[in-house]
Amino acid sequence: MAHVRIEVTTPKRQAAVAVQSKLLLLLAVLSTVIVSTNLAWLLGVGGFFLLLTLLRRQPVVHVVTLAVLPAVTALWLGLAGMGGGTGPIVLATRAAVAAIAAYSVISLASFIEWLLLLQTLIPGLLLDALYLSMKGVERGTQRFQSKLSALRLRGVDINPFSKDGLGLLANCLGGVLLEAWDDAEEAGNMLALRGYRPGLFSEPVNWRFCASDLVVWLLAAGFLTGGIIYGAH
Amino acid sequence: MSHLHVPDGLLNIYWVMGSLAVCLALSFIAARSMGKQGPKAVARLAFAIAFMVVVMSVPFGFLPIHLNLAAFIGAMLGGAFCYLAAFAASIVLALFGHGGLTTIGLNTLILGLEGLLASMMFRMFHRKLQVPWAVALAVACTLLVSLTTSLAVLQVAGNEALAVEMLQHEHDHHDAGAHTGAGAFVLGMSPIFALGIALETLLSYGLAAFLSRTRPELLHQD
Repeated sequence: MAHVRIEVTTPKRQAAVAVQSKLLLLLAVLSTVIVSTNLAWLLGVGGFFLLLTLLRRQPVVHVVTLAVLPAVTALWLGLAGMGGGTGPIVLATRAAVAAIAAYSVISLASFIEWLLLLQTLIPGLLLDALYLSMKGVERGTQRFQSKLSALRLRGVDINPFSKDGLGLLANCLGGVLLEAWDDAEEAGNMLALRGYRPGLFSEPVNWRFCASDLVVWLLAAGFLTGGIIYGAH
Repeated sequence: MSHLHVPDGLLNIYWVMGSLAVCLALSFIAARSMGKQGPKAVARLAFAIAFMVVVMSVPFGFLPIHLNLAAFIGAMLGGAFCYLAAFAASIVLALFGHGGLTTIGLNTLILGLEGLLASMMFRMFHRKLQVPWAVALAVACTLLVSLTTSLAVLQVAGNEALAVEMLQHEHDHHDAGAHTGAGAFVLGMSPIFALGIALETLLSYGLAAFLSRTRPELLHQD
């Protein structure tokens, strides 16, 4: 008879960086970018965060795409107000780097972790609604995309600039709205049944820090110091 | 569609912090008034947030706009719901990497105003008009008001930022341009704004017509 060996393994404790440290890094980087007028420094900061994105195997093209719209808006605003010169280029670079840096730092923590950090600032009711809406966003997007796909498979052209196309789009959204509304009513009934009070999803925030946090703090301090030394002309 | 796409790095700290403080204070007031409506209000708020985020994925081809139907939500659920949903949607979008971390406060205030006005106007127009027409008219009027508000903010805050930028770059010979920067921007963007308003109004009309046929009670129809 073969012996069955059961191994009980405990997960290795990882030295996770606290979300507060990530927030500190985000604030430091954004402050540095906002006050900087030195193009080389801005490009350096942007390059650093693009490298971080590459190392974390995140989609670089997606990150760059996210930076394009703010950059174009800033460039337009800059060109309209300042005419030529390097000013509009600096404005556009600043907007792009801020977007890239914000995405990189925000993606270091999960949506839940950021929400938990926000709980001290926003009403408990809003925090609960944000938690409940996460599933709704996922379901709603899937439902909407599947409705659009079903129409396309039937050879229906959904052109939002034609009367029929816009009507179809409105009907698709109406279907999604009704399904989401029914889900919300069901969730509301369940919450009422269980004796809901605002702040249901609130959790105490962990204020313990580890050695990895020190690295992030040093990085934040480095960005601030670098911004002061190299940020200005 | 009237939220500001002002990139991070353009507004100064006074605008960012001031708008955020007002936005937070109003969110507590709105939450307190909604808390009295019981747990269903939380679920409906979650629905409004999710719907606003989902609507942003509606494709409009080459146009650099996305809708959030804040005015429609305001007409359907009321101003307080729309305000909190707009705040939450701004947070969600910022955390999804959509950008605009520093404009969360301003965007919420503008979208909240949009929801409140749409709610009031819809009630007013509904006395005389059928639901889809009342919704469309309320949405169109509200979008005009909120877009004007957001452009006025851009005019003041954007010009301030550009003026500072120009001082830093010592482009003294361009100083007259600093006062027309946002104005020129608005002029260039006006066809896109007009198209955006038309699209959101027509889509809101279509949605209201759909709801009137299927679930009329959702738009306060007796």
